[in-house]
Amino acid sequence: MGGFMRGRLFLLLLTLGVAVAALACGDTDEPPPVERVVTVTVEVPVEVERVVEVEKVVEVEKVVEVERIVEATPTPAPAAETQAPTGPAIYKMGLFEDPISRNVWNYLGGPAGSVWTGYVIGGYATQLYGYSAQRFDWVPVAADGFPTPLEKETVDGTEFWTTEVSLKQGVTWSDGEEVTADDFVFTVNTVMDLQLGGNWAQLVDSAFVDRVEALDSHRLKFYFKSTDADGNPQTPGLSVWQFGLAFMPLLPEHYWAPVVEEAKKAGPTPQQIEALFAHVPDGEPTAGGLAFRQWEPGAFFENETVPSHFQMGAVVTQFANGAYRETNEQLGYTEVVYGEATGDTVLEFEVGPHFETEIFSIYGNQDSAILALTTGDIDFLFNPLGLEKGFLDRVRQAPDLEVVTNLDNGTFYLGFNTRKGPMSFQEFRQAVATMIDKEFVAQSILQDAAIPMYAMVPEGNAFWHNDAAPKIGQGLSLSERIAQAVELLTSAGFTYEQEPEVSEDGDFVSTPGRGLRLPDGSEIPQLELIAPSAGYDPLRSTFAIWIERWLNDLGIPVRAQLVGFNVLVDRLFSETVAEDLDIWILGWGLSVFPNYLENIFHSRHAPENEEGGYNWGGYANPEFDDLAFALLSETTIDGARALVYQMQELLAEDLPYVTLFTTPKIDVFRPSRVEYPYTSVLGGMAQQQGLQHVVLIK
Amino acid sequence: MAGYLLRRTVQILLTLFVFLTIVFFLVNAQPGDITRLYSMDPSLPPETRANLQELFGVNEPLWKQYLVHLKNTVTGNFGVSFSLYPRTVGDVILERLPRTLVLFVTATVISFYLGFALGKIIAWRRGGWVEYTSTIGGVSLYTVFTPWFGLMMIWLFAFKAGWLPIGKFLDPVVWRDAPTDSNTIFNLMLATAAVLTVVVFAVVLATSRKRLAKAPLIHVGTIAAAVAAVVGVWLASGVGHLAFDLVRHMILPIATLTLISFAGTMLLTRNSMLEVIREDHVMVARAKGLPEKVVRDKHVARNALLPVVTSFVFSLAFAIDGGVIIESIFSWPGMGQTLVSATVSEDLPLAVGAFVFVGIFVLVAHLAADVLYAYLDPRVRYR
Repeated sequence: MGGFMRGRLFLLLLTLGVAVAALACGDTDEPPPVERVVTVTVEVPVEVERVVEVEKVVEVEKVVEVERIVEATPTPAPAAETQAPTGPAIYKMGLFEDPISRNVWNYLGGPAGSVWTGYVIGGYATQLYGYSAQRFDWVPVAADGFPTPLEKETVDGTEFWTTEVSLKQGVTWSDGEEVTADDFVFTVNTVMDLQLGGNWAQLVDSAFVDRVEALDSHRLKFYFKSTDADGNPQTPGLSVWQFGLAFMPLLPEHYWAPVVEEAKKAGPTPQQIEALFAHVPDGEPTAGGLAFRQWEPGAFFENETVPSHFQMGAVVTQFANGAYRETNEQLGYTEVVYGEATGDTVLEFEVGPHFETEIFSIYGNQDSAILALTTGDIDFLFNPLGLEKGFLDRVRQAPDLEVVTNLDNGTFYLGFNTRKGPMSFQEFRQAVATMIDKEFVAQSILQDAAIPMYAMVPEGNAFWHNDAAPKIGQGLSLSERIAQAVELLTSAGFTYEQEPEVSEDGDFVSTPGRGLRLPDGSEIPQLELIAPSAGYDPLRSTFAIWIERWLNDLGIPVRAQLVGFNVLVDRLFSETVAEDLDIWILGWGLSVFPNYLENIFHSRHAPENEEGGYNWGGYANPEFDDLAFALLSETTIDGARALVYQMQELLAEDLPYVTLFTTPKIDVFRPSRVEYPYTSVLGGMAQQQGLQHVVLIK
Repeated sequence: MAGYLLRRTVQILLTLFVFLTIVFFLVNAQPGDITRLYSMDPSLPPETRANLQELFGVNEPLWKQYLVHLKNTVTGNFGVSFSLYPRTVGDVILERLPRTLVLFVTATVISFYLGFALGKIIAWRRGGWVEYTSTIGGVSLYTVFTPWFGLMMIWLFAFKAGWLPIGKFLDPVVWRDAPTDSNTIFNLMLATAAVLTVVVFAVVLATSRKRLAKAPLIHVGTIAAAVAAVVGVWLASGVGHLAFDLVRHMILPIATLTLISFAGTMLLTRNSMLEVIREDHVMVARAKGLPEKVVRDKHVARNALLPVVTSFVFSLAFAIDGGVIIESIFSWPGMGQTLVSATVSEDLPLAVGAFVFVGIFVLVAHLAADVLYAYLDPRVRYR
């Protein structure tokens, strides 16, 4: 028996060894999979974004410059060919985490608001207005045309701003019930009654929204408060109305009303919210074209297409002159906005979803997910964490994968505590900005993993980005940086014991600055630069190390502290932030409409003025505050853009933040299995939820 | 013995209390709290975080949270997970535990069986190529960098050869419209394994006591019949293909786990055997002219079993927390991944609940090992 056992065991080990050796040898015989690498830079010709000033159409030029890098070889992939679908058309995607909940209330207002939840349930809801594909025009979705102009109206002695919106006829929930104005009113009322927070509070801003009424089954009337809590006049600007309430998802009253009523019996408001969030939807009707089918936690999540989706089969055409046309034979309408639907077409696609179901497979790590992508188990990978260089190299070599690089709508920045010296001096902040060679770190050190930035609105958000904003420090040599920074400091009254000197060849600082003093003669204390550690983000930590070096060369005593993300954020939200904080590096993911400028830099959002406010640096500039406040009340796009341009110029000069860089967004998909009408889009394809409503399955 | 068990139980409860306290304060010692993750968006109203803190109860003083935590543990209600809100901790653990148990208990049993069998052989035939090969191979695998080895296994057998799936525990296409969920199948598999074990042990015990000449044949026959019956029942159940899919996904992680861990048992068995070989009773057995196999298996291996069994019991207990690395590499969302993600995201109730669950199992395993010690070694008596 023992001999038999031993024989079997060694036979097993031998087989294993032979198998390993055979596979390893087999690998070496394979030719390199990449035959050629094509790098194409596509500069999309002048596109025109037309914006609506209520009903008056204003044309504004918009340049979208997108670099699209096609990295895959065009060689056909035998593996993929053999996997030609014979069953139902399934869009297969990969995730790294489970969604948290299928409850939309929880997703937009509670702890379920993870990016993963958004990917899987983002296609359930519809809204009155939304962004158009790729170009981000403001277009009707469930609404029938644009709203009526805002008007002042007095009701029972109180003055309101009012507007009306019609809903399209024939829009139905997945259970066949019609989408009506009552659904919208119910959603708004639930948010206001339960005082839901998070994104709901942003969408339904109770400082502005008074109420919404259903005039009939398909007509809504909106009432906005015309004065703030202190009685000052206010106007519901774009961020409140067009990019706020009008973007709110509609939820079906006939399904949710009993749930909400039950939740309201749970006790005080927090318990009511808890009860609402705890509801697990069962057969919830949707109007967004996708509905829940199956969820095996930890393994996969599946949605199915709703064939009766009101936009199914609609053809969307975007023209070079800025016009947008939607032809919907199902509902029998053709909607043309932003001009004449004539001339060159820049984008055309049929709205889907064009598959029977979509499956989101969940992987525990990038390695497995990339392998699954390579072998054809999935067609598209959601990867908000970014693709590491090793993985990128691997997918570039895969024969049937296409890599698309887009600009991100986000920024990584260096922030100053402007409440205390020396950071309170504009010239000091400008001197710091002058010293930072963003191009050197981004291109030479980080090998293009980062893209240098100068304005607060990223270049990728072309319509709102002001390229004319000052770019302090751009293109300077080391000698020029040192000279300009010293000039800035001394002009503000700073004094040196020893000014910094650059070597004769200009390559390095031969004598670092010493004894730098504030204009009042006091010595500059040791400053602390806190930044995320390399384990969390190597890009930001690399920038921090270089900045520390350059500032010390200039004579500014700075010590970079690379800490865990939680530690850093804890410091920013600390009650003693005004006293303890010096300089920090962090990042923001941004929205298309740049109202975040107000959220981040208006002095009313400094933690000392507003608990939990995001203006950690305590930036207070009356000129900026006026512009930011005006943006909140601005109702026209061109007016808002003018304000945003001014704000960017002011920020680039005053520098409460030195914007450092943004990152390219890299998406990978299998062109032999899936086809997208467009892949160049701000923020990348993942941010557009993998283009689930337009993808074609081959 | 009863007095000893009572004392040990009290000690375990005290240890558990200390453990609970340490876990609570360690997890809380991390900077910030989970609400930070949800409030780092400038477009969100600043009160968002305060609302979440209130919802989670993390705005309460630490001592109050600690008392709630103790109360929850005693009542067995660990509360609601922050990161998977509004699911309860119990629900999450019940979802993840069967996956981990099936994978890691299977791997532990196979690894111990392989390690024990090899340990016996190399202790008996010292100095031969078998010993050198097994020892060098086993120790090399034992000390290999686990993530690398796991990825190599995937690369070889899943990616290059295509024989096995790349990670995960099921194939979504197979499970579309499945009549039941994976947890039901995992639980049924565990139940099947338990029944199979009981049947086989009962037969082995019965035949050993009667000292039947054809006992080995009966053992093999029983195992074969039981396995055939199990396969038959699963095939007839209509969900056999689902179980097969799970088993198919288990092969690679189990093979990896077995290969990296069998050497520990092998060397432990070998060393223990070498100690026993020198005992007088072995010399007596040989002097009696007993066959070498009988001397090895009945007189040496059985006496060398004691430390191996103890180690096995502890390994089974630690199987509860899974292996973070293996679970991550093979996309097997079990207790190990739950522990790590809950701790990192500061999901206090889930982290504490998972740690407590593991802690209780390990402490009970200690008690079980003590009892087993007394059973296996008549010389051991507890007072």
